[in-house]
Amino acid sequence: MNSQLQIILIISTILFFIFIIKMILDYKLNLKYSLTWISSSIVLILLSLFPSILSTISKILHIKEMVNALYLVTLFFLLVITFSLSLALSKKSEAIKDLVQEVGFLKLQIEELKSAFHRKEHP
Amino acid sequence: MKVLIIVPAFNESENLLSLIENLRITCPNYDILIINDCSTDSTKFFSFSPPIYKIDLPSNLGIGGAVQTGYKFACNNGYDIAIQVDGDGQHNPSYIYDLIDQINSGYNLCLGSRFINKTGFQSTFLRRIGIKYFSSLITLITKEKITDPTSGFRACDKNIINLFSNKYPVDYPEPETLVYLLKHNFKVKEIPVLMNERENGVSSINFIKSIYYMIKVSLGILLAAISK
Repeated sequence: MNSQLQIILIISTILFFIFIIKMILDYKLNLKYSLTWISSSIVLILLSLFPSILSTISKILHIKEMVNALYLVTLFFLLVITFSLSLALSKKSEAIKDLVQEVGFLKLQIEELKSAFHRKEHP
Repeated sequence: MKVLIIVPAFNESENLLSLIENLRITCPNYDILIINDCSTDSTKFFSFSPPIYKIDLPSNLGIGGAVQTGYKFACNNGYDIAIQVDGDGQHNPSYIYDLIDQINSGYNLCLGSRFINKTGFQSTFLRRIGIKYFSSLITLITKEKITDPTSGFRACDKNIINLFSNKYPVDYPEPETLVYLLKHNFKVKEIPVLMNERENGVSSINFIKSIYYMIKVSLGILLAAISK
């Protein structure tokens, strides 16, 4: 790999990692959902430090160009991350549905309390 | 002095009533708040009168969210001290006064450790290895020795009540919060307690989750050490 490119990649992957950590410390990113991002960014740092890992991967997968192997690896990570987001979203949708129903029940209870109160005040 | 005992409970209908009775006998002057973390058993049908309160959460939050609900209640209602007691009966109410004594002596948080005197229920072998690992990690980062960093048997003062009601990790919060407190110069004390074995029911941590737990909590500890 061109050493200029490698330096750019090392710096940018490290900056990305630092950005992720900062988002967690600022309470903008939950620790729960950050695990895939943290592990992915660490892998990216390692790949830019040791591009030979990538050439090994290309050889194992019988891919001619290293760059294509890089695209494959990146797409794989993106797939994993977006799928985990779908899972997290599904769980949140369920929780929101439960909350909405609970609010419905609470409103009913309030109405019943109001009626009981009015009946007491004006028998 | 207003004291609240926070009892997080998930599917502990078999243990809960005897625990509450025990708490009322041991600490008749303290209020009790049961947080029913959306149990699927009959916990939601139990009803109590003050000074015992029960909140039935409409959705399952896990131990972090459930306990934080308790801290928010404590904060909103002006309690001076809050104590966490697990709903499964592992924590023995007879040690509550010992925990409170430490708070009155000036400590911000006091936790009950199984491993100071190594008596009573010592948990499984695997769990103890995990706990030893966290203990060493915490000592490495904070230079303080905590023998039972995963213990949910803790008492804390008003400062911590306010802190926790604003910020409390959702998953496996005990080690992370300890590191945060130690790094922010709060006074933490450990006292020896005996814990009982789980009477009924199944613990909520299994083997696969344990690996995830180890990684996640280690990361959480490291981040808690550098957070503001």
